[in-house]
Amino acid sequence: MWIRKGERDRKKNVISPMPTQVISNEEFIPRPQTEKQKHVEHLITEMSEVRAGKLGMDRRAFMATSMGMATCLLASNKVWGNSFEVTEAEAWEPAASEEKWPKGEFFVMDVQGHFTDGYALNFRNMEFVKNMGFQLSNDKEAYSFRNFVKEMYFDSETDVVVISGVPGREIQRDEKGAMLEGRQRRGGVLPSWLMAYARDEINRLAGSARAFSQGNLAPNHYWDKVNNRPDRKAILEQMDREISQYKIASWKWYCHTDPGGSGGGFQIDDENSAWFYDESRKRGIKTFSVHKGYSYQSRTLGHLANPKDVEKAALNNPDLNFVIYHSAIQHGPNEPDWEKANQYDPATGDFAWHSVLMDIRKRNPKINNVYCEIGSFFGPLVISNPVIAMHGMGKNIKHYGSDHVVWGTDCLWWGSPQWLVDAFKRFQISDEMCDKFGYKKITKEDKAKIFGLNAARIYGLDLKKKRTPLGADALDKLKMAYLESGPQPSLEAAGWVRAGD
Amino acid sequence: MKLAFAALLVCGFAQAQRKQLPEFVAGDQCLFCHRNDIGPTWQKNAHNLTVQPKAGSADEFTLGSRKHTRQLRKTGYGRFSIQEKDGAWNGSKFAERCAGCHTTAVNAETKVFTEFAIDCYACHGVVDLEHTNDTRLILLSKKNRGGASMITSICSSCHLRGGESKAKGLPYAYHFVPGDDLFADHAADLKKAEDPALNAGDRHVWRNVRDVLENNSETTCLSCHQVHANSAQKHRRVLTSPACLDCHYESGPKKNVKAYAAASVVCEVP
Repeated sequence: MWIRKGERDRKKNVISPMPTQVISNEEFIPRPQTEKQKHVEHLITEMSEVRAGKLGMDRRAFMATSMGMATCLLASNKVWGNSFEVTEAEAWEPAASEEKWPKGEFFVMDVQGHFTDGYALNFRNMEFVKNMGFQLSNDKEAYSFRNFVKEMYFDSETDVVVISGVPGREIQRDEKGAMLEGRQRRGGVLPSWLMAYARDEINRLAGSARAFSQGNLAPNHYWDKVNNRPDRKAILEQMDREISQYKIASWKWYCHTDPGGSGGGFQIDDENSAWFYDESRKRGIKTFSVHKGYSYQSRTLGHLANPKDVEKAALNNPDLNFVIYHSAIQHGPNEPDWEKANQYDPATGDFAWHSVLMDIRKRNPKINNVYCEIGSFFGPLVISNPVIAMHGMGKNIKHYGSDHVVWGTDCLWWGSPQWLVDAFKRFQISDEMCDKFGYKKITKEDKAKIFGLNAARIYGLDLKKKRTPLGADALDKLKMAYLESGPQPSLEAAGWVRAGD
Repeated sequence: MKLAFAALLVCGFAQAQRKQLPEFVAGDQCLFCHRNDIGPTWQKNAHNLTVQPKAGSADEFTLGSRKHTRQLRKTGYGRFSIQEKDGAWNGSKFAERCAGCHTTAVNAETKVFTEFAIDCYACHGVVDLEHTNDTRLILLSKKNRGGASMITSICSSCHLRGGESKAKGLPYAYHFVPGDDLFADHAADLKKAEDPALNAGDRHVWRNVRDVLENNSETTCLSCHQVHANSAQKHRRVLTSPACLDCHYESGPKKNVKAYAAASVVCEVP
């Protein structure tokens, strides 16, 4: 028998800001809660009851504080091993957390921030997000630019955001051949023109560089269907526009998507990409942010999200930077069986396709232009399987170096990135895993590089320049003219688990 | 010969034959947002496997699956060459016979397809991005199920084997777009539903289409089959009816089903 996750939690009196099992969305049969997940859940309930009781607080109110999060992290450590630096005191006294983890300690530059052009994407209805206890809304306003500014800059410690592209291409001309501008160019959920507009708005309000934007153009976005090859004229026209007019700072590529109807995807080491590199190089853009992993974001081209093509591209283009998003992890947070689906090998700590990316550096220790981005990599792993998270971060640092790991969050898909900032501040690789797998403890210096110094270097951000904060009235001053009004979506929540769990 | 198209006049479909195929959002983009609801199962869904890329090759593909497969080579934009049973390569057969149901959005004039395998567009049609804010805007969503005739048109565009385009004589319809009346162009003799030579699977489809088009049945493919779950679990909920006898025996345990060998002239099976 299946029951709603919420109903099951109410029946069992489970209140947790961390997920305690993977939930079904009706597309697959609910997976039984694992013994470890049951154990964590039991500990969270038990420990929070004791603490809330002694502090004279309602347990739900307790779990909403930093003490609640600390309690969850302590429970996670007890079951999975010490992956979080958290003390008992933090689970009793909010000041203990504030003293140990002061805000503003690190410069934080998030290279993967998204919003949408007025569309609700349903990401915030994902069970693992809901189970964080944030009760995020999922209407189109939740994904709006206005909310992006609020959650990235006001509700988190993030200093600088790179507005990162999603698959889509702009329509260049109308049926009569007249050049289109702005909204008329469409371009999907988050087009290049809109990213540029938003970046300028943020920087105008801050009076300093607080945002960069990427460009969506890729080698297969405009296709000559008669000759079955890239429409180079159209691509160059778009390239010039995105670089000169939109002033993008990096390209964002999705090899496994085909918005131009080319009939296929592309690889970053193929001849069309090589041509694109040359043209981009001439125009001064040398950073290529490439989505790798999350393979079921493609209907038939998912295999092209395997990072195997990074090797040749990096070797052939040592002057270019390749930022590999998601550290190439193959599957997503709602995967019915995370360990099995990613072919996780506990003996080595390898998992798909992260291991492909790691092997490239092992074979080519001189490669110095590949960066592992950790958006939707660190976060989902650290809350669902901290052991795989320790392997993932441990290997990224071991093989590529802490100066080649880049902070990204994929927010605001997951709400404000503050919970990720908090989690990474406390994240640590256990002594046991360091001994067994040769990982190193993550130092504060490492974290400073990962949180922002590496990205600042890639994007040429002068850290000595003053960055003024956005004023308290910034949200009111945002020019929101491009936001369209429309009907609100259904907010029906779904999700099923076994009644016996 | 009695043709089905007359029955469709009541459905309010777009009746004009389309000169061109519309622009549509490709499935890769759909799955950016639907990565967690549709994504986990779609790569293994039969609709997504009608043409499969061969590992390690950009130009080689496999048509079909399990027992019946043919090798394909990409020969240009939206074109495949198919390997005959004798090993020879045929440059036109795929476009003439297979493309309509194994690829998406085939231009019936040039016989060039837009996407290989079955893309979201093949069932959901041209999708407005605004559907994220109002799911009634997407065909076959929970809030826009479509009528029985519309659903039957969509499913029949591939699963009703044996029809023919009136305009082009192709075994697939001319520029069919979900929401349109398939039978405006696709001629299908519904008497075939009782053809004893049909295998059980095809007969099941033909009878269902006939019942919807001629007998106003509200039972469609989607009454029993869950496409995204890749499952026919729902059909267990259906009350016993004559349609059951296409596959099940009149008496005895229902789990015992009649064995049959798929056969199709179009697909050259067996």
